[in-house]
Amino acid sequence: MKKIELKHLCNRAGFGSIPTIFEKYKNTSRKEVVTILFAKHTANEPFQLNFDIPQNIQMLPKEEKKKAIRKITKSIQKLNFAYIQKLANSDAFLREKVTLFWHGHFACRTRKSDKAQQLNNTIRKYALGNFRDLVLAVAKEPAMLDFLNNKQNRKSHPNENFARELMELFTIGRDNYTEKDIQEAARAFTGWNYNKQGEFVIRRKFHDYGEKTFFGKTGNFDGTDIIDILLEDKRTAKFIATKMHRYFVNDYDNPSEIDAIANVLYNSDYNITETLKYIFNADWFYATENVGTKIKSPIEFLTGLHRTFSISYQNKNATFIIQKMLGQVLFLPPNVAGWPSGKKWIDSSSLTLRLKLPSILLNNGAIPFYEKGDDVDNVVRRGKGNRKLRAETNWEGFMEATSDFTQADLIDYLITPDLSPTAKNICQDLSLDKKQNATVLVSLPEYQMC
Amino acid sequence: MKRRDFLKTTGVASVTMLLPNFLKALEFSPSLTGHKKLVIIQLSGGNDGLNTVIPYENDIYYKNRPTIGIGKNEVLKITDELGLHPSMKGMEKLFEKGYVSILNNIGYPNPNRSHFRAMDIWHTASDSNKYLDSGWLGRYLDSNCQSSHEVLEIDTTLSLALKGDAKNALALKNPNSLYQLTKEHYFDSLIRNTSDEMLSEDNLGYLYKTLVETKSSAKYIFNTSKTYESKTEFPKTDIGQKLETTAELINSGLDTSVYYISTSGFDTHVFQEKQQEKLLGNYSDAMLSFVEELKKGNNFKDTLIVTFSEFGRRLSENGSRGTDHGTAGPMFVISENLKKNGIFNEAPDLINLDGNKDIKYHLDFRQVYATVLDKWLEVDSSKILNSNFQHLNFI
Repeated sequence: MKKIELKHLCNRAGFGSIPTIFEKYKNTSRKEVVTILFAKHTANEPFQLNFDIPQNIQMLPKEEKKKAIRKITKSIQKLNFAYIQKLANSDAFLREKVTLFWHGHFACRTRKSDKAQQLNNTIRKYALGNFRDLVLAVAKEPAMLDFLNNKQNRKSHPNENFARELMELFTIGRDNYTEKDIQEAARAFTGWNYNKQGEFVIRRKFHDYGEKTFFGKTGNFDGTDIIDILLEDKRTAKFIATKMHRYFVNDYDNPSEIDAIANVLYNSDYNITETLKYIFNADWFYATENVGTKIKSPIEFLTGLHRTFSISYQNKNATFIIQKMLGQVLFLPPNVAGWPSGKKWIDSSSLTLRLKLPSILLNNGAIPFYEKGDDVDNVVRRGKGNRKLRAETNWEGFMEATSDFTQADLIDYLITPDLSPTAKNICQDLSLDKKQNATVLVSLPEYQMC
Repeated sequence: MKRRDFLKTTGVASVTMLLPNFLKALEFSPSLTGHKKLVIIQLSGGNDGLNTVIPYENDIYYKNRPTIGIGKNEVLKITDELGLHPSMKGMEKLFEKGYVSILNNIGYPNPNRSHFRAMDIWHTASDSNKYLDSGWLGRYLDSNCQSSHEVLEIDTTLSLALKGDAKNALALKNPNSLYQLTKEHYFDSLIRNTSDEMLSEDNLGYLYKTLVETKSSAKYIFNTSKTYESKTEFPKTDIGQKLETTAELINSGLDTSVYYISTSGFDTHVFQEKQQEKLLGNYSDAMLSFVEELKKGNNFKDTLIVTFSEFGRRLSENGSRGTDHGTAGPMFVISENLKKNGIFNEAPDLINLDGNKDIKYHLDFRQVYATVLDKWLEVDSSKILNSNFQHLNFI
């Protein structure tokens, strides 16, 4: 497989290139590499954190309530940090990349970390399986039953929130159903709830066993039937294919590529692995317009840095602060529609921070760049950096992994698109050591692309 | 026809075409917006409207708030039924001068009581069951402005309200910090060596374009504002400092038309009295200094200040001397020549509540947006809000 193709596959099926990959797979066919990718990098490693989450805090006296709220906030940050670490370290990067996709698709906010963890584990479990199983499992998750108010959805007082979002955001997409469809679907999900152990239950006395008419079909439907009917409709495959295309292929829609993905998804009865294998093997996936042209999400950007430089933080909250400033916090999507993508990530604040962050994390705040004739000491100042973001880099690991790399190899490893004239200029002028070269490269706008 | 009017009618595209060089276009193009300034103040967390504008003659209010209700003798009475929170002496002064219009019961259909979702709705101006990923002021920027600095947020990160579909506004904590950052050697080299051909519409071109624009805006803002220093003392609070920066930018003659400021802490579930007293006091003191300073610069007459919170709070207090998330709440509109000052519309109806025992909304917040866009900024609100909302005649 060609260098650029391997790099592209690493970017999109994982979180950036791997130093040894070019040597290892230069004589292996694309099909074989994709097969190896699915065989070796898809282990399911769920979170197993224990949380001590205070219950019924509204009832507590003032001081205890304050403590309880602090505990809850800490537990959310603990889970968030564990996720950042998993993304940085997991060898199952393909499963993690796909899990992150569904984490945004089934956007859910909760302050209950145990439920958030359980939902995330469920998503991870089904991430590469069948989309039908995934939707159904998510619909039964306590976090989602809470978040979209299905817990309150009862025969006597139907709550339409879940039914509406199931259609608008999780399956078939906006404008493809009527208000009547929403009402009927809501009835089918009445009584779906969970018990004290966080296990799904149907509360029989709250479930509406009556006849419903949904998408022109009539029957004593329950939630499972509603999901089946939605998936029988090819518009659901198209909606999911569009989102997959935006996440794995290009920020801009390409109708024929999307149709091709939708066909595979639909004809394989919503088999996610088969669909992804199709994408990663397709010639169009490696077309110039799809390579190095996507803007990394903040999590992709941060995870890339973490994986390349094995960064460890003095302050555990540092990554939480960074995620906030960059505009994407794991487990805290902006709303049920999930995160936006592409250019939406970029404004003057977020961009300047992205360009500045590598130097803050890797080099105490200074970007080690100077032009010929400059007084080095004046330029490479040891900035104080941001104390909250103080971090350490495993430079030994980096130097070892790139020991025989030339400057060109280093660029190949870290940067995907062709360098712009500006960036070329900067790279030509570099006469710094490898560490500083690497820091400059990951501070380029080009590093924001994958 | 005035030059500005000409530019307004001919639109952004033609002006850009007249100027071949991208950088030149940025540095020399005149602003397409008028000289009117809009300042939006966001009170994050859901300010308790009923303890801000207090219905001190209403028994139901006192019955529902036995411990946190504010006594008739303490409130700053502004009409025979409504009074301001005792900490808002500054606002009372502004009110007496006729600079304030209080809009009661502002909300929207099917209100959402979650902070982030409610804030989303206020920022994007969407219906409560629709999801937009651009903000109303971002879309104003898209359709009516050239440079991102024409809409400014005084903060380190940019809020959704100021993100457009094509353009994003600029966020800065103060003019100096952003300017110094773009002057750093590395940024400077990146920007100085960027050629016009690189500023294409593709994603990488967009990054370089954003950088060049940031530099150009930061330089313009820094150079315009560096000579001006406020002549009024501002409180050393978060909102005081942000409003001082805003006043200095306005008085220095910056061509920015919208400023956005937020201040937080209003989520008062527990022991709300002290906390709200401090926050409203900070808000009101800062506002008094702000108006005073704008007057010194002769800019108050051209400035409209609009304050909102994502929701009001429940009528009945909870068990911990606080209040839980509610729905409709008041908005403050402040300017020198309001068409209708004082209390704009009827006080909250505490008898006819919604199913959750919350106040029902009477006016949609997007009516306020539409009024401000059409009648103050003089642009077409229907394009920005994707719908026509009936105007309110406060300006």
